[in-house]
Amino acid sequence: METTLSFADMVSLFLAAFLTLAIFSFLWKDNFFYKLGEALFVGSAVGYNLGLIYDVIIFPRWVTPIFYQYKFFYLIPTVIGAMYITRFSRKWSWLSRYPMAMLIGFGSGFSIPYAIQASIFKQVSASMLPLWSSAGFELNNLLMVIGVLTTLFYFFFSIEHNRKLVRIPVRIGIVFIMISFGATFGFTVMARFSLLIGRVNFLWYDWLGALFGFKA
Amino acid sequence: MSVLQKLLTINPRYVYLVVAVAVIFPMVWDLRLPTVTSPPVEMLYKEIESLPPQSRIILSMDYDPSTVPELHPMSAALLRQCFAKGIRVFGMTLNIQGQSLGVEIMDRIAKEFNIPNDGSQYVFVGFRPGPVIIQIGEDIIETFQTDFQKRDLRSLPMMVGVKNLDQFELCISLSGTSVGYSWIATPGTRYRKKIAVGVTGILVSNFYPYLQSGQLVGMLGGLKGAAEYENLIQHEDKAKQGMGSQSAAHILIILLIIAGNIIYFVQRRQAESK
Amino acid sequence: MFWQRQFPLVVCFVLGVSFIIQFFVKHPVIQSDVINEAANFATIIGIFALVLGLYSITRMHWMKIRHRRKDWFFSYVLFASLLLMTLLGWILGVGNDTPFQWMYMAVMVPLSSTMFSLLAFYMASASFRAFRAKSFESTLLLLAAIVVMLGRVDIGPYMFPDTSIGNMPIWGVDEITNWLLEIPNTAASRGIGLGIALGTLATSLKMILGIERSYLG
Repeated sequence: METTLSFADMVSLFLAAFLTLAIFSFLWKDNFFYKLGEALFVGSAVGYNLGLIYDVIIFPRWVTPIFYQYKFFYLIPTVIGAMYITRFSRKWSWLSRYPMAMLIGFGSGFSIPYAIQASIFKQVSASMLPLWSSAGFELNNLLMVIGVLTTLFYFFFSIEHNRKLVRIPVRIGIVFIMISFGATFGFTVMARFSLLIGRVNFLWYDWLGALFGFKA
Repeated sequence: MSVLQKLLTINPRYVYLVVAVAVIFPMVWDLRLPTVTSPPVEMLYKEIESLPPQSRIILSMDYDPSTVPELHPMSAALLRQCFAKGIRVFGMTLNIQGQSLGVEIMDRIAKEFNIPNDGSQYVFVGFRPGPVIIQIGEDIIETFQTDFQKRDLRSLPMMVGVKNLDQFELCISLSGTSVGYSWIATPGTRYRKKIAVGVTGILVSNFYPYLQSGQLVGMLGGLKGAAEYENLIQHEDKAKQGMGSQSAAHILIILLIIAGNIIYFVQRRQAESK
Repeated sequence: MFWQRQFPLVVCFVLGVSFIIQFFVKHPVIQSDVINEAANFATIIGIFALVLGLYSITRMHWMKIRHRRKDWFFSYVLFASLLLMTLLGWILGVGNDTPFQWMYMAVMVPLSSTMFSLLAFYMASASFRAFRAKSFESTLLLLAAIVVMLGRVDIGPYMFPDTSIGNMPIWGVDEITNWLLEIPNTAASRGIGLGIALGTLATSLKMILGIERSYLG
């Protein structure tokens, strides 16, 4: 089904294409259009957050509890949060430590048990793999156990790594770590190029496609 | 300066030009090769296929415009599968910039399936600040209260009988940051929900341990993951479109690495022989 | 002095220990109401940090304009776009078919995506100039990267599919990549992840116990 673009959609398309090419122009050299795009980016990003702030933060989390649900104790965190602003005063800036301390206490205290469960206990128990099963010797499981232990060993710097007994597990650990970093690098290449492909896709199919009437 | 040295110190703009040709040419030519599905993607696909119609899942689009090319196609493919199966989707985001992206993709894909925006098949609640990921486990209605269009959640058909995560079968987080760990730690551990993630390429290798431990029921990784999923649901879209260019780009990088190393070793040998 | 330095540490300690204990208390009021209200409190307190950020960026660019520093004109562009987006959101709403959403899709999405896509070009340049197999470890890294790069695109399995010599199966690049990711990569990532988790745990405990005080400024 053919859909024609409205005027607003056309303007949006051309503006997006112009800004995309403005940023790409940096590859040639720094220039007016790139700086314009950069300033627009920072300004609109901050403006976007501010534009949403009442709708998604202030109204549901402050106005509704206090003025609709009559939870007047919500004025307590309001006063504590307002202490952040004392940071601008040399005499009273120590008050800004209170909201920070509360957020750190809440965040750290809440996340510690879950981090221990999810990132330590579960991961350690998943490393306890059987080396023998009904199918026979499980080489992959052995490699997994050796890999985890030697990787942890590599990052244990309280013992010198050039000692006799320590050298071999450290070398094995490095092999596993380098394979992991290589895989990460391969995926990073994929990720970076995906972003470029996304923009080129937009320029080719969405912008030039709309101009010259061809589609994917 | 020798030829090899000149090659190594070549103006980088020539390299940029080669990159541009490598990306543009397959796209213009519409190069498409068969896609092989990887196990983590297949796991997620089968998990959703096993859900009965009218099941509810959470789709958290925790990304911003900088990761749209990789994660937006994932959202589209997952939504298409869910809407085709009659699975009800609760859309949300933990990233403030994901709000505009989430509402756009949900409304657009729903229109493809002629699903009205009446809260019967899908709901998008947008962004709420703070530790929402903790609060939804206790009372999801109280946490969000209204959807993106300011309708009371209690009045929406798919939210009838919903109190918290117990009424959802699966939580999927699409993110370009480490938010996936929070989903595994809180809903996954505290509330024992099934969690799946879709992540950008950079984070894929970091999440494999959680797949192996069973803390994740599936994972989509990068543009390839999105393309594999489009292949599985038999609806090729932006991700598959980009895979031709992705193939060319990877071949180019491999050739550049090999060429750079050949030049380096030849120069080293020349220096040693002097 | 106590109220300026010691009492914030006491507050951090009390809250930190309370929320560790709440994990083990399965009473519905603790698990539901207290957690909910505490989360809302944290949100309200956190909102005020936005004020600090806004002041910082405004002051920096205002000083640039005032002292006519390099590229001061673009600070006006920044302020203009900031005000425009803010006012569009506050006055005309933030729904799907609003000017706010239009600006987001027409300005923010292309700018944000394109900024990050420049990295692809720099990565290509770095691949040619800098990535050298100078040692055993770096060779291993590059080989693993090449295998994953081939295995994670369509052309890799197309060029190097699974095959067999007689009855002996030979893995293609896709199978090799899957194995690399599922075994050595998982093992190393798990080891690194455990180290990070233990480090984060230690730092969090140090903050709660008042040993780590740098966050107080």
